[in-house]
Amino acid sequence: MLIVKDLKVEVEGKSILKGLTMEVGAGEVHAIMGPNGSGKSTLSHVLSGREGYEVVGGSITLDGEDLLALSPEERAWKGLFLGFQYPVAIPGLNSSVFMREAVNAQRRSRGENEYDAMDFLAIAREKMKLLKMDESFMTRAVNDGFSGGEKKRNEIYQMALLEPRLAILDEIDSGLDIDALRVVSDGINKLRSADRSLIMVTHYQRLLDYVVPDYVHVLSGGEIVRSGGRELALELESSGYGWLEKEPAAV
Amino acid sequence: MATESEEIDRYISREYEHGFVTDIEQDTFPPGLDESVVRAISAKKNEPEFMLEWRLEAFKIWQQMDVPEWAHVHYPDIDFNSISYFSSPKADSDKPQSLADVDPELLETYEKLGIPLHERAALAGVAVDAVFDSVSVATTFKDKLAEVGVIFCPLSEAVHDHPELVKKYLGSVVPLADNFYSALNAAVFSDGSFVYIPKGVRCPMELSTYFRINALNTGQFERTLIIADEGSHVSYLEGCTAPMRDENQLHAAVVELVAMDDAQIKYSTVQNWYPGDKDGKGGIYNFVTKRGDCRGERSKISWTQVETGSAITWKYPSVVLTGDNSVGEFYSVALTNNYQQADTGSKMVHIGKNSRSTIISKGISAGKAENAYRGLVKMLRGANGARNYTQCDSLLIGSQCGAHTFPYVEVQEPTAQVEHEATTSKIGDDQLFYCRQRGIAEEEAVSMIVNGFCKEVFTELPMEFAVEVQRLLGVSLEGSVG
Amino acid sequence: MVATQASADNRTAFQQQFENRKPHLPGDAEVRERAMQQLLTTGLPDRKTERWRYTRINSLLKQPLEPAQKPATTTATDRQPLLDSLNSGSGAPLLVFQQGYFCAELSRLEGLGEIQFKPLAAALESGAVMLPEAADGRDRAFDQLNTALVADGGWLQLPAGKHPLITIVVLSGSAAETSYWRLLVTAASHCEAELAIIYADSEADQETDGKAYQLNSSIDLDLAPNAQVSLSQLQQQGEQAFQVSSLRANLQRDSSFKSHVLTLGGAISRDDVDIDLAEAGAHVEFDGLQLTNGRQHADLHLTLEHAAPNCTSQVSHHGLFGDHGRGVFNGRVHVHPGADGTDSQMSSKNLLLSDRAEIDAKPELEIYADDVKCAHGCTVGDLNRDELFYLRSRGLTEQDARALLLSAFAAASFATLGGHWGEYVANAVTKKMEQLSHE
Repeated sequence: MLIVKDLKVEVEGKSILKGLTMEVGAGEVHAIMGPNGSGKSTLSHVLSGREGYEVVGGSITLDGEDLLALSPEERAWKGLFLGFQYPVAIPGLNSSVFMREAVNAQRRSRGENEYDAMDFLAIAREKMKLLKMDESFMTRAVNDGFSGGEKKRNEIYQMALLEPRLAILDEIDSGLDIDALRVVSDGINKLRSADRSLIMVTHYQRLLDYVVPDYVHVLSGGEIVRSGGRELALELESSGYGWLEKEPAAV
Repeated sequence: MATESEEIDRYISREYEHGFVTDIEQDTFPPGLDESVVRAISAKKNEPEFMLEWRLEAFKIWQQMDVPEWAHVHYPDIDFNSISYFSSPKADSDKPQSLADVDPELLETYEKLGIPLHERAALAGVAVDAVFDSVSVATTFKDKLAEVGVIFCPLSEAVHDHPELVKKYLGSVVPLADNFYSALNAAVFSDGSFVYIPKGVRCPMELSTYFRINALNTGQFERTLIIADEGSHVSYLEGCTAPMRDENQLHAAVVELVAMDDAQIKYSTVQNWYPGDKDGKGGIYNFVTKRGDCRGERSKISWTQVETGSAITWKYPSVVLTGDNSVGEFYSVALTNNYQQADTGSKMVHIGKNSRSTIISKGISAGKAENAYRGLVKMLRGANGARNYTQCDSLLIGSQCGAHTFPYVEVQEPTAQVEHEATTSKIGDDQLFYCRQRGIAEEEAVSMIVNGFCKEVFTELPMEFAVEVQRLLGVSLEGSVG
Repeated sequence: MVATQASADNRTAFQQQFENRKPHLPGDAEVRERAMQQLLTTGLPDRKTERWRYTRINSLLKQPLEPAQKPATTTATDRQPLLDSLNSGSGAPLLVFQQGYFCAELSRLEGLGEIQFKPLAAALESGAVMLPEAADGRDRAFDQLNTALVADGGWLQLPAGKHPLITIVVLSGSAAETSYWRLLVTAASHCEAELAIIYADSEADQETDGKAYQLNSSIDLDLAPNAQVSLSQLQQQGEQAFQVSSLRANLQRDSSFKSHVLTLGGAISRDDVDIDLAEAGAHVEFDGLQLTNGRQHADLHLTLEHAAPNCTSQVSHHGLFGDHGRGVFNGRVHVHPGADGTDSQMSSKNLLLSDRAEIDAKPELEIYADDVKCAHGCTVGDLNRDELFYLRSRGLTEQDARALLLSAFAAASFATLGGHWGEYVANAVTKKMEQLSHE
């Protein structure tokens, strides 16, 4: 479904991703791990179309379509969702109004009818129930005054509403205590399905105890240096990222 | 960044929606201003002698005044002799007695503006006074209002039917010599709305005036006077539009509000005069004096304004808090785009003990526009326990506009408390990206963020206005994203 | 119309003073001529001058005082205790000026080290330095007068490296005349310096005398890239003094300027502080304190020109006004086009301690760049009730609690001043506070 081929990305003339290749099939869960500065967040941002990153080589396709040619919102309409590491606050903008517009924008792009306020409310309630969320979330301004845990839960709630085909969760576990991590992980697991792919970007393997990936990739120095199954994450936990320093020399 | 700016430019450069001209016969004075014009206006209106004298005195005072230059706006000198000071639809001689008599083309105009003059008004629970160029053309629901004793009529009528009220209150809040434009208005004002709410009456519906400038080269000088007697309540809405013209047109209105003991007046304005084109050509000069006097104890006056139109806006709705425990409020959104300039804000003058005031001002500047907040909070000696809270926030869209804050705080009373806060920010790239990642196009995202920014003010608007205003903001911002 | 007439007369009087003194003034005469010409063209501030809106000085200018002559001998002998208390045997350098003229006998230059100092008259005569052009406009008339008429002052060159505190004492007021004083300072790259200036009258007890005098002081400061300068000014003039002070600082790349203006004395005092953040990365911290009582009037006008990207500024003003005391604070932040990354915070906090006192504050923002973080706040009011209650619940009387909170309020203004100088300031403020709270 998602094919990233030899992706090379620069930020302000500095090379960050140096030829990254990966493939994500329908329904698969991939974890991307790596030390700070390895290019994990860059990958999330390039996939979702954030400005400030220059793609100098390679390609990204989603279901055969060139993703790089699309604006961020067009990618969203194709079913790409990014769970932000640091979700931004938009004071005064009601969460419900925001999400209804987001869902309707997607529906418009597919030529479907828009939801009116009542329809949307019913759907939103259903998703909140699924994720065991308090309805007060809907009446608050987007992420404004939210705690770290609330922000991350809100991201998962948005994902539930937008029903993406491919969700990239960028350090969704950062800043969460163990209880909050469990709640967020439960939410993610409920949203797993055969036609929804997940990419989880994380520094720690802890998240992977709760959301078990099919594949694990280790990103270092702008490249995937190792890929494997679940066991790779566990190995990383015991040995840390220190071995990566030596690895390139050995290769 | 470059692509975002283009987006924004496109977004801001949408066009003015109310720019049509209505082709009806007009009775217009030739341009120029001297004493004979003042007399002619008064004669045209069959005014009683006291009104003529009042006008002539104002004219004398005006002649000795200088054009104010302190505002943060720039425009070529106005030639006050090139303006016509009176214009009305021809039908003025036998004024419409009911809506059925109103020129259908005029009614069509109001339809185009989306103003409910007919039954729809009843459904919306709004009584409307429509002022076309300088003349009130139709007032709805007069009879129904009369049942509870509410007087709602053109000021030109009130001068005849309620001279004692007019004599007592006209000019009692904004004196003749208050400022250059208010003095000019007093000399040449053509019409406007008059409202009197008797003791203890809650006005059963929203009152509303829609102003429309149509004729070419005319100044519009309307004057509104609202008196809320003891214990009464009234909510008043005002809307304004004008056709697209290459020339600048002058609009110098005066609004006076008087609230007696325990009375409450809520005055809401949606100002959408023609702002000029994207190169800054044409547009209305909107130089307006609005002031309320909380004369009675526990009285309350609340101004809410959404200003998106006019080439230049110069306006400071104010409250003089004379009565003990009185309350003044000012909620404002001022949006400027392209070459628009706004210098607007509020004055709160505290005299009464424990009087309280709140100022919430949201300025949005896009394109090459200049947007200034200018305010005065004054605590006079003896205003024991008086309080003011002021918050003015500016939002900049694009790097060629300006946002300014000039708050004056003058305190002579040790037990008074004043708190003023101001911030300036831009629409963050991260906020825009967040919205776009959720599938919301940039233009829509900007509109949503701006609406969020203005929310504290919008919640103060009557329901009928709230929806209209959000749409209006979207239109006014078109072509602005960066 | 009458006001214009009056100021026109004053102009002529000042012109006369200038013509009389011109032959004896040091340095290039042309810059002085131009300054005088500006004054003659635009005139003195009147009631319509926005920057002098709250400080009316017409009556003061009706009969301009004569410029002070150089004292033949030291007139400030009874000021020795003040000088001693400042120096406290630390061996740090001390520069003393009387009526605007450098006084070598009372000064101590030993501790200056690599710092270059010259009396301004000598520096101007030698051509080593020139007076800067005066600022334009009616509201800058006193700056024009200083440029035209100043005869002496100081010239300081601060080289790279860390320097000891330089204390500067400016004494004026031995006669009903105007003292003009000027200080020109250049701070080289990577210099770290601290200047402390005290303004006082030349006699310890001015009250018995009762004659009005004026001081027109002016400081120009240039900070080269990466220079770090702290300049604090403490104004302790006598009750009859009218002091106008201007401070202009020009900040180059990554330089840092910390400045205090602490106004305790004088009948009327007016400070114009103009800080130009001219190059990227410059940083300003400014603290202002105004304590007035009696019929004192203190006016501080501060302008920050954010002309370059990524500059930061923090302004904090505190005012405490008792009796008929008055305060005026005008803080203006001007962010120029292209000054992206500007971060500017300004706050003005004021307390009125009497029902005759008054504060007029105007914190302005003028912004022409969109990527900025600017905020200002202004409060006027009484002490925080919660804080008062907290102290009283711990056993303090209301009066003690108030006094304590008031001193804490004032102390916030000079908390960053350390050492002997910090103590001196703290003592001066404490003394003034006692006067204020006992009225």
